[in-house]
Amino acid sequence: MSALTFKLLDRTAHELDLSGLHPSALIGTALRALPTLRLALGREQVALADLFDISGDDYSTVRLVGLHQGCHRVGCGMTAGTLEIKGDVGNELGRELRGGSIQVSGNAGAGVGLGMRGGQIVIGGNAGSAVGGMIPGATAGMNGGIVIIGGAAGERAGERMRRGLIVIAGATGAHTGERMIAGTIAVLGQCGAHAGLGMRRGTLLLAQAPAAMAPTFNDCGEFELGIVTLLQRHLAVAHPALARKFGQFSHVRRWCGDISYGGIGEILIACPGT
Amino acid sequence: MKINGVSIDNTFAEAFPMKATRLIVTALNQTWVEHAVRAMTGFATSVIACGCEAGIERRLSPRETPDGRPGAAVLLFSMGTKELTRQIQNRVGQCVLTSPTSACFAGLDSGDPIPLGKNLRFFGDGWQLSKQLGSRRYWRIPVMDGEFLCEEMTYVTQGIGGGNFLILARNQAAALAASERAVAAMQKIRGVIMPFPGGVVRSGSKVGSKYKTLPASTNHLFCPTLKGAVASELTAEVGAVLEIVIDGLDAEAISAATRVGIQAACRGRQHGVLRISAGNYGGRLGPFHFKLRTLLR
Repeated sequence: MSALTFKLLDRTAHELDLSGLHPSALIGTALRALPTLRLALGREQVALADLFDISGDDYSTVRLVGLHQGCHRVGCGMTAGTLEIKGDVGNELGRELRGGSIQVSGNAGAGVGLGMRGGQIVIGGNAGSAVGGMIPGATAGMNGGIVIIGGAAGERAGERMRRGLIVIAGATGAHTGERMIAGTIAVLGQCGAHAGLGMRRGTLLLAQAPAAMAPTFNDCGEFELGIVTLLQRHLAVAHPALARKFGQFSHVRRWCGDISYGGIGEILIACPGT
Repeated sequence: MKINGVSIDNTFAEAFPMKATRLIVTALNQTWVEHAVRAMTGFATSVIACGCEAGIERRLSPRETPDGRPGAAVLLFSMGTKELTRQIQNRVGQCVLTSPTSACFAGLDSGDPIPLGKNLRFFGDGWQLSKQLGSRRYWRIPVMDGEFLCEEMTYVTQGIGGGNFLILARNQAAALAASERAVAAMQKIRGVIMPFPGGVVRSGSKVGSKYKTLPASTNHLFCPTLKGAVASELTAEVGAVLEIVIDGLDAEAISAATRVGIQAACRGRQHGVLRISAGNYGGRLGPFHFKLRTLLR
């Protein structure tokens, strides 16, 4: 058996909603019926065969080839299986993900893992704003699972996240981890302004000290924390190379806060040269 | 049947089901691992009066522990889940939480979950932090040397208690030397503990007593000083008997430990060991029967 592969025929096609093209959505559809499935292309409904060259027969692994930033909601609501994407994707990748694994070779737009509750998203390139954020109307963001960004991420990564792990290998925009309820965000590049502002609980791991720490965080001193090793080993299952970089967090300076929201959250900043 | 001149009795060890769990205790170095686990497994030789039977299964290298530090695996056995839960809470709370630099984790991946750090976290007085990683939750309890890291739950499995064999020797010194050889060999088997001091027990017991309040009393048929007074199991040349009690996570582990233990006890020249036997209650106490000759065949 080979992975069920959908190769985009016309890369100039406009905005596509690909929320139905993942293992758990396709599992009940017969192979011969796949070409007649209809997808939203802008305001129209178009047959799958008009957009994609379809091959393969393994429903547990779905491969999307030649996608671009106009392809939105890829892996939306997925519960199991593996979704491999060659190319870039648009907004809301892995929205409300429950399980399974999504791998993107290129960049992703805004809203990666919006409201996700489980599973794993690995992006080779950059991601837009609101990684692990809230779906409209929700009071909490990401509630489980792992998001790994190989490059940089935009503003408001992990805003109001409740559970789970976000690791960003590059830099992040402003308001990272703002109003976090719980969970863990690690930023291995430079973190933008206002990190962790309004966080209630949770952990923000920063490889580099932010330009300015909010006045509502208090310095607790330097420590070796066992929980960092557990995080590193947890991450190693999904991404061994990034996990090795967690070695820089063996000694951290702990800032507790946001003290105007209870002070139970923390920002751990790697201590260089230790 | 004889091994190196030692007679193996045609009998069996009788064992019974127990509830069991494995905990992993880590610390900054092996010295403090030992302090923590020895305190935790102290006064845990027999469920008759200790509440549980516990012992160190083996030492763990940093690569084998969840937090990458030296550690030890500890097995705890009790007659029921409720008592095991109580023992874990008391022993981890008083002996591991209190030990400098320590951390405590579940050592089994499946079974019925029972609290480990779930209740101990309240020692943090509201400053405790939790971290959910995958399906496991950990508690970080602030203490005076940093944080006590403890997994929220551990898992209870069906274990076996009361595996045993008896070493019958010419004198105390020979019995003790053979027991030490046996325990050293058995400690290499995973999934078992020998809960008595040094792994050896001299006060083997029988069920019941002439005194109504006692549930167990000395196994008088194996006491050498009573050879002339009772229908003794001992021949004239037997001067001392020592027993090795084995608790294990499964029958295979107990069988393997019994096998290597007896072989080690019978090893060497002029070892002074005369017979190997086993304690049983005619099949009335427990459903697990470890037949010595079958194990050694």
